[in-house]
This record gives sequence, C-alpha cells and structure tokens, in this order.
Amino acid sequence: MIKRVALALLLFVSSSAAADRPPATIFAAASLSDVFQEAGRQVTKKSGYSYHFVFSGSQQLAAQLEQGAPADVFASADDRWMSYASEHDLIDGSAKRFARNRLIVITPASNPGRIDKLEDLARPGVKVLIGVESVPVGRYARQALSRLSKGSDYGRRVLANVVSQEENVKSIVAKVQLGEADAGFVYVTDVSASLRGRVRVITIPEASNVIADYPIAIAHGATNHDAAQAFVDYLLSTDGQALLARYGFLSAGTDSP
Amino acid sequence: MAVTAAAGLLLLLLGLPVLSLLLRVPSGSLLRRLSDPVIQDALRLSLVTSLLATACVVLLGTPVAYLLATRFFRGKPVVETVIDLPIVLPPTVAGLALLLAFGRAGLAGKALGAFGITLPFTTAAVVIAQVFMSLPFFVSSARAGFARVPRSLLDAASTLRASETYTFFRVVLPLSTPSLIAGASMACARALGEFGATITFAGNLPGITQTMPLAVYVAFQTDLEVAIALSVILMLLSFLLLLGLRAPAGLAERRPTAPRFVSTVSR
Amino acid sequence: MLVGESGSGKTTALRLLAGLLMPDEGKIELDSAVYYHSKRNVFVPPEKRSVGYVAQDYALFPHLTALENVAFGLRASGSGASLARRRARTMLERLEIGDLAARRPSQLSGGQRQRAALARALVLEPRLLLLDEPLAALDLSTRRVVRAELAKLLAALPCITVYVTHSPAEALVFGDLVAVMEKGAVRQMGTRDDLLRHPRSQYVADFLGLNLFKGRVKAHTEDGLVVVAAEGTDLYLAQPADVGEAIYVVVDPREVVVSTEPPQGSARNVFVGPVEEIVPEPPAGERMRVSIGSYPPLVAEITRGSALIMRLEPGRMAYASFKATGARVFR
Repeated sequence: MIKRVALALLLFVSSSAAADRPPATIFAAASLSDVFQEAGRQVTKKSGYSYHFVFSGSQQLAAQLEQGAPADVFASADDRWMSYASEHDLIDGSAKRFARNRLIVITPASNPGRIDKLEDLARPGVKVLIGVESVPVGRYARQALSRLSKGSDYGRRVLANVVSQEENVKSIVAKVQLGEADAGFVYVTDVSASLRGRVRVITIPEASNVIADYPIAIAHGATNHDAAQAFVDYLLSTDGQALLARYGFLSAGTDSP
Repeated sequence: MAVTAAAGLLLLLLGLPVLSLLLRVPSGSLLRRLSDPVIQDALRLSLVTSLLATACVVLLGTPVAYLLATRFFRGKPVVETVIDLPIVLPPTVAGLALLLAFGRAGLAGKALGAFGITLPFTTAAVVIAQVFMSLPFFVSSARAGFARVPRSLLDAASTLRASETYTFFRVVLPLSTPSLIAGASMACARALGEFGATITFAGNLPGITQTMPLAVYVAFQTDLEVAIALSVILMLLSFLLLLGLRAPAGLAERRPTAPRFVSTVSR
Repeated sequence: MLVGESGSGKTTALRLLAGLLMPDEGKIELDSAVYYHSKRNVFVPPEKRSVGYVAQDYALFPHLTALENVAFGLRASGSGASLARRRARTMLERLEIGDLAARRPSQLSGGQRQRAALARALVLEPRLLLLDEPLAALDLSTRRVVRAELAKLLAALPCITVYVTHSPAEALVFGDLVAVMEKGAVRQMGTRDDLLRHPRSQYVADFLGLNLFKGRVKAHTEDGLVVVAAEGTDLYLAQPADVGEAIYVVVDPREVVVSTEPPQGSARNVFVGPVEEIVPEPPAGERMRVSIGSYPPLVAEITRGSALIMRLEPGRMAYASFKATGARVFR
C-alpha cells in the first residue's frame, strides 16, 4: 500500500517536473502528422515529456533548419533531405530509419474523372495532382511513374495531366477530398480511417511501387535532449513500431540507411 | 530633429532587407536566370495576372466605392465588412473559401460547370484569387477619395442640369484621381505578391498558375541562389509597376495651379 | 428678397426651391411648371428645373477653368463643345471677366469668383435665379463695389431672382419684394414701403425697423458733421464719410422724436409734416409707428402714452427730428 502511494507520488512529481519544462519541438514530414501526434501522446503518458509538432514538406523543414529554426527532432520522408541535413550539420549523430511507406493513387469518392485503373490517369483531360519535385512524395511519384512506364510514354502522358504541383502531401489529400482534382499521388498511410469513405483507392503494383524510407535524427542544437531521445526511442521500440503499423506504415526493416 | 531621426530609422528598417537582397546577387547571374524558361513563365504570368486583376478591381471596385461613399442603405455595415474581409483573412483560408465557392464541387462551381467552366488550376483562378485579396485595398482608398468631394460641388452640378452619371465622370472622378491611383497601386502590389490564396485555389503549375511568389517559394527549398535571384527580379518588377502607376498621378500634381498665397490682384 | 437672421431657414428655402431638398408636403410651382406637389406625388429633380443656384461659397469646380465652369451646364445638357465654349465666353464677357476665362478658381479673387458663379448659372437662362448671401463671402471693401454692380446686373435680368441675405439694409436697398423669415416661416412679405410702414409683427418691425435714405455727401461742417443731400433735403450725420460719396443713411425709428412743437434740443435734423398714419405695433399696441409725411418722410416709434398726450391723429402737423448721432451710414 505504502509502496503504491510512494510510486504514485513519484510518478506525479516526476511528471509534473517534466511538464514544467517547455515542450520539445519535432519537425516531421506531413505524412507523419496523424501517427506522430498519437506517438507524442503515448510518450507524454509514459514519461511526462511534452511535444510540439511542426508538420510540413520535408524539403521545407530542411530549409527552415538551415535558416536556424529551432528544433529538437527531424523526421524526413526520404533519405535525400536527411542527407542534406547531415551535410549541413543540422543533425547530431546519424539518422535511423524508423518506418517505411508506399505510394497509392486516390480519387474523390464520386470519381468525377472515372478513374478505375492506373491506365486511366493517362487519359487526356484528367486532372492529376502530384507533389513538387523537391518534396519526397513528389519525387517518389515521378519514380513510380517512370517504373510504370516501362519504356512507353505513359509517365509523360500522366505528367502532362498534372494541373498542380503541391508543396506537401496533405494538400493533395485535401484537394482530392474536395473533389477539385480527379486523382492524386499520396502515401498509403494518408488513407486513414476517417478518409476511407471519402476517397477511392487505386493500388500501385509492388513491382513498380517505390519504398519510401523515413529517417529520424536528433537535431543539432536541440535543447530538449531527453525529451527528443525519448521520442526517438519510443518510435524504434516494439510499441512504437506497432503504432506505426496500425497507421499503415511498413516496419523499419533490418537494414539501416 | 526627432522627426527626421524617426523617418531615417524607418527608411533603414524598410531599406535594409531590400538592400541585402540586391547586394547578394551578382548581376551577371541575374541576366542568366532571366533566360530560364521557368522564370520567364513566372514573370510573364505574374505581370499578366496582376495587371488583369488590377483592371478588374478598378472596374468592379469603382461603382461599389461610389455607392458606399454616397448612399445609405440598410445592411450597409454588413456590405462594408464583407468587402474588408480579405484584408484580415489569412490568404490560405481565403483560398479554401474560394475553392468551396468556385471549386468544381463548390457552391457556384457546380453552376459554372454546367456551362463547361471549371476554375481551379486555371490562370483565370489566379486572377480571381488576386482580385479577391486586393479588392478591399482599392475600394477603401477610392471610397475615401469620393467622399472627400465636397457636397456643395455635387449640388452645384445638379443645379447645372447634370445627371448623376455626368457629375460622376466630370466632377467626382477627376477630383478623386489621386485616391484612385493610390488604391490601384496598392491593389496591384497586393496582387503581385499574392501567394496563399493562389496556391490553394489556383494551384502551382509552371506556365499556368506558378506566379513569381510561388516560384520563389518552390526555389527556396531547392536552390537558394535561384530563390534570391527570383526575389530580386520580383522586387524590381514591383518597383517598376508601382512607378508606372504613379507616373500619371505625379503629372497631375504638377499641373499649374496658382499657389494659394498669391494675392488676388483686383481686390 | 429673402431676409432673416441666421437659422431662420433662408438657405433651406433656397435648397427647397432648387430641388436639393425634399419638402415634407406642399407644392412648388414656377409659372406653369409644377416642381413639387405632395398630393400628386410630383418631384422634379434639380437637373430638370429651370433654376440657377449660386451658393454662398460659389462652389466653382476647382479642376476646371472659369470658361469650363461656365460651360459645364451647357455641356451637361447636351450642347456641343464649341457652341458651349462660345456661349460661355460671351457670358463671361458680359460680366466683364472675359479675360479671366483660362484661369482656375483658385486664381480668381472673391469678386471674380462670384461673377464666374453667376455667369455659370445665368448662361443656362434659368427662369428662377437663387442667390444665397452673394456678398457674405467678400471682404467689406469688395462688398461695396460688388453690391452696386450686382444691383445693376440683377435689374437687367429677365428671370425672377430670389436673393437671400441676413442684412435688413441690404434687403431694403435691393428688393422689389421683401420677405422676412423667422424660424422657418415667412412672417411678412411686401414692398419695402409696405414693410417699413406696416410691419405686421414686433419681429418684423424690430428686424426691419429702419428709415432708409439714399444720398450723396455734400460737405463737411465746421463742427465735424457730414452733410448728405438725400431725397431733396440735407441730412446731418456724425459718421465719417467722404465728400462726393454715395451712401445710404439709416435712421432707427426709435431715434426719431415726434413733437407737436418745434423741438428744443440739439437735433440737427428737423422735419415737419402731417401725420399720415398711426399704426399700433403688434402684439399689444404699446408702441405706435407714426408716419410723418415730411420731406423726406420719416417713421417714428413712440409709446402709446406719448401719442395720446400729444393727441396725434392723421392730418395733424407734427415735427419729426433726430440727432446727427442718431443716423447711421450704410454703404
């Protein structure tokens, strides 16, 4: 009995002590917005650390870090921007891959463009959304398209149907959801439970699909080391991996970047 | 003395960022950038859309400003608030609102669709976004100008057989030209710099919807030097446009009217 | 002539006539044209009325030259540019400011601006001309000159002129028909003589109550008085005036002393004549207005008691006198 009370008191004291500290800032790719917020809640429950998230296109986050924006953790949607951060001394130590992702094509539920299979994306007049070249989801989509082309001009025709290049994947999700575009290239993880009724999904065959690697690292000059490390550790732990899997991410895999 | 110091400080605050930008770019690279088709696209698009948007704003805004300046009607405060809304609205919110209204699935968008018109992702959408965000700047300036025309002149005109339309074009308009020009300049500058509503409603595609501000934003993430070059070009462009709009106003001010303190001889 | 104190409604009356203000009820007619009729629901807007309006501040268009100002109404009613300019120039010349045609209003003096505003209204040949205190915006020295010229000009015009002023003397000098306004209503309207001799209210009497003579300064006396030849006789004033000057002499009826015997006091102005009329002043007739048919005729204001004591009645010879200090000069 006394032990329990003591333990409770200890937890209470430690958590309130932790809560007094300012929240750690996590820069993360837009596609991580749902899962990271949940992860943050889990870590806060366990350790008492609090977190503040900034979600944006990985390319924008890297640029902001370079300009001196304060962050404790950087989680990118591809290796390219993490390498960039490493080259510019924006991260401490080496990055660790914590998740992987795949691409998928979504259309509005009403399917105004009558897109039922990938080939339909090349039909003239179809409105396609893709990320800008610099944002990971945009780069991955172009890679997937070139793989799907297999020498034909399929990829070129689809790109000719692009009506807008978005800065981050969530903009694509929003505009397709609103019915403004006929289709968009997003991540598998973007089709959350709540979205499932509002969009239709067209899968990209494994062979042609890309694997998106998500690395994470402590930012250089982080002020909340402990909180930052706790978050990274959680993601890499079995609990964290299970959470990521629940949100549709593929496991981190055995090889590191 | 204090006034001069304050003015100097303000000029420094405004001028330093501009100067920093200008000093950063070697002029040779600037010319090289200008030949890049993507930049040329953005430049042309920005020029065309902002000039078009300014023209629309002036055409649409002048009658509205006149009515607001001269008429009282029920619900006038509501109309005034609605017109001023884009000033306080975050541009991205405005863009979303435009999508919900004029998007393919939007309120008015469906009706437009029946005529075969879809707006999002078109250059027309860029103009619409610019008009939406810059209209209030013109209307408030024009309205103030119209309201400043003395009532006695309007009365005199009507006793001189002038209809309201004639009075508007021959008395009100000439006397409010400086306000109209100032308003148009502000609207043009706002249209030129418009970003949030454009990227949300019109999208981002080089040649069709990627205006200079969007191009700068995209370049900022990949190639900082390009971004800086683009920013300088955009700044010079804005400067030239504003100068061009102000020139007629400057001429109007210099027209010879006798200074007020000249004694009236035949007294 | 529409005369009254400030706030009496004179400008409002003009604006109603011009159509710049909408009456609550009633009717406004000019000859055969009905401009407003509440019962028949008629309202003719200003631009359709044959009315010329000259505001107190003249309201010339600052961005147009004098010529363009005058031509404004002609252009507004559809005249071609060259015809309008010709007619405008003719009108400017008639008003003797033809050489100022290319000037802007800011380059004109007060008097010139007034003439430009008049020209602008007159070139449209209105049937009714409304002038709102035309002399008020001018300084005193200009006023004199302009008043005389204005009087000449207005006399030659074919239109009806409604001239608003707050100065009773001005009204009496100019007006064929004078209407006295108080608190938004016309208290009395009539010719100058009518009003002076038969004011129908204390207010009118007080407001106008004046003897007015037109004359020319003849000489100065040794004791510093001014001799004015007015209406066939000499008047002595204690006010400064130059010899040869044409002036108006104003004598308040209260300064006029009536007596049945030759006056004993130092009054330099003594007249004699039969009592023409004795009119009790409303409301209670405590004061009486006595008109003496002297040469020139004088109106005096005395108490009822005095009138009774002197046994004044029409036909009785009486003396009317006033001191040199009792007379005022009006230029």
